[in-house]
Amino acid sequence: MSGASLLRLERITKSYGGTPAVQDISLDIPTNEFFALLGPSGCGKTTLMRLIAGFETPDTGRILLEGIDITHLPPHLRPVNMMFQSYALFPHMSVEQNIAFGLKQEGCARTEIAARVADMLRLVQMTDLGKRRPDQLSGGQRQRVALARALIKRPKLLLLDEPLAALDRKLRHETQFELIQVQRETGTSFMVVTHDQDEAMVMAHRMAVMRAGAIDQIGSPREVYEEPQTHHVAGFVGETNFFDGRVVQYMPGGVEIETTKGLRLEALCRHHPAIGARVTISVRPENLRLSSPGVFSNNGGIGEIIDHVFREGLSSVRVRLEGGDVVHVRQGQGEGVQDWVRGARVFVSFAPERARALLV
Amino acid sequence: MKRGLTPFHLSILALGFGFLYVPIALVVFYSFNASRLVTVWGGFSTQWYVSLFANEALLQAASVSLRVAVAAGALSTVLGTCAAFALQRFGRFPARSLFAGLVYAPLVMPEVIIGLSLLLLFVGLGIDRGFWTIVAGHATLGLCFVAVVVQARLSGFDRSLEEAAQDLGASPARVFRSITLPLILPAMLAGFLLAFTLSLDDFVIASFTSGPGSTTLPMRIYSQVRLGLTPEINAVSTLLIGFVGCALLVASTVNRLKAPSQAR
Repeated sequence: MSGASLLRLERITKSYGGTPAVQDISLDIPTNEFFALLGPSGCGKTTLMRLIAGFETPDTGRILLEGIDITHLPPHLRPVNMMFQSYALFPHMSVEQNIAFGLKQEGCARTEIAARVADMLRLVQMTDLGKRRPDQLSGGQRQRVALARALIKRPKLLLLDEPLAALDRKLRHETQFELIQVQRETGTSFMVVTHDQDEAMVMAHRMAVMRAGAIDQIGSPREVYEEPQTHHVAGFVGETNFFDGRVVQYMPGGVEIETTKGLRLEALCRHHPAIGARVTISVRPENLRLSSPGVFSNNGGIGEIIDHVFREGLSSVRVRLEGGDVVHVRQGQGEGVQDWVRGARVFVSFAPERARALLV
Repeated sequence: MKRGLTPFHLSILALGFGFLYVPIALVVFYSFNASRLVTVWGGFSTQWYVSLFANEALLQAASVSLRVAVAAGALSTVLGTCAAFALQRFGRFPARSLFAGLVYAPLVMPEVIIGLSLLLLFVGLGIDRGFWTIVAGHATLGLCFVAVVVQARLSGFDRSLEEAAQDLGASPARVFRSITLPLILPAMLAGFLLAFTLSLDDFVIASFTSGPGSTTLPMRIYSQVRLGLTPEINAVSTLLIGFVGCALLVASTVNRLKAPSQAR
């Protein structure tokens, strides 16, 4: 699904008035990839996108597109296009004129412009609305026009700034799949900036999780979900349970910790914390299992069920462990899955290979 | 709270409108007077309009006024738009407050002072006063009105429109021509009409800055009135009122023309 390197960021740093917005970021985007930059607001993801589009210049570092240094190229000379969060449709032009704008700047022949605009309208399913003005369109239609306008120059890389943020929930869901399809049809690399981990998980081939101007982890959605490398990534992507404690001994591939509440737990660990170092174990709700007390007795703790909700084919159980921590357990409806009643005493445990010990 | 118009409200309203418009209405009314005496009604007639168009001096002054107004309006629009961009877009450049103060000073400065200071300037520089000195004087007054109107439009301007255009390959000059200019044009047009109107009916600045052969219409009217009121003056005033009224109406309509609502 991906090929040669298209975009390369080399040690990009940018600060505003002494406050660093982007710190020492290096990144490689291959051709034909759907890449997501995920992070909370203010983490520098929008700044990074504006650096790539050329609206900002990095303090240090280089931006290469197909091996050519474009760090100091002004935006109108970069073969990169951007879809703005507000869509930024030109209010004094029709849908067709909006979409044609990029080609007109290139000085394309009138007939070619007309043909390519028609292609784009077809791609975004707006064929009948070409004569409308932006203020006569719904939010979803505006989003499509903005997409078509940004794609008509056949950019190597399309930057999308929170492309779905302005849409309502239902439309957002449908549009995700449309974006995936458009990306596949055009073969353009997409780089989406989003704060919504669901969006990134659904759409991206690979994603980067950002925090405070730096990238915490890059990987496929599955890798990021299953192998979070930092506390922030584990907490930001998907739901998880944390057990804080100190390392007491090394195990094959992992560590054993003693939690602040006195439990001894084992988990895999990719880092090499010292004995006594503070770490936290992250366990996804679906990797916790419940059993009657006495059946299992290791890698877990006793607790009491405080509530039990059945939703979307899964049962969601919250358990208060001895010591007061509340954990969230998610179980499918299969064999061996009991219906737990509120107030029941249970043993909550997990397999060490399903959990990750992370540095704090 | 919903209340109808009581007689009290109506009389206050009538008083207000009367105060504002009766003098103007009287001028218009007496311009159709057949009598030679300005304040005695002698029947309906349009003879003063006819004789007006035979009055060379008055027509000459009207032509000067119109040409001055067009030139001053155009100059104000260009300079005022530049000033608005400087104030809205250039951040906190050195002496920005001073610049803003100078741009907006004519709004509050007595015209006599502006006129006098311009007169001193032109005399000091040894510039012959005439058509262009009036234009310059009117432009200093007009540009602040243009700046106010255009700056208001610029402050609500979505900068991402310009970025989007640039991103699609438009050079900064083309961005200005194809995106920025069309979107602020209504404000510029409204500003032009304001400056045009101000110039057309200005008397004070014009009388300080005019020279031989460049008498504007208000100046001509004033000097004629001192020699004695003729109904011709009423007629020319009526035309002027109509003209200025139309210009102001167009200006406010143009500015209220729904700024093509920005895509949201």
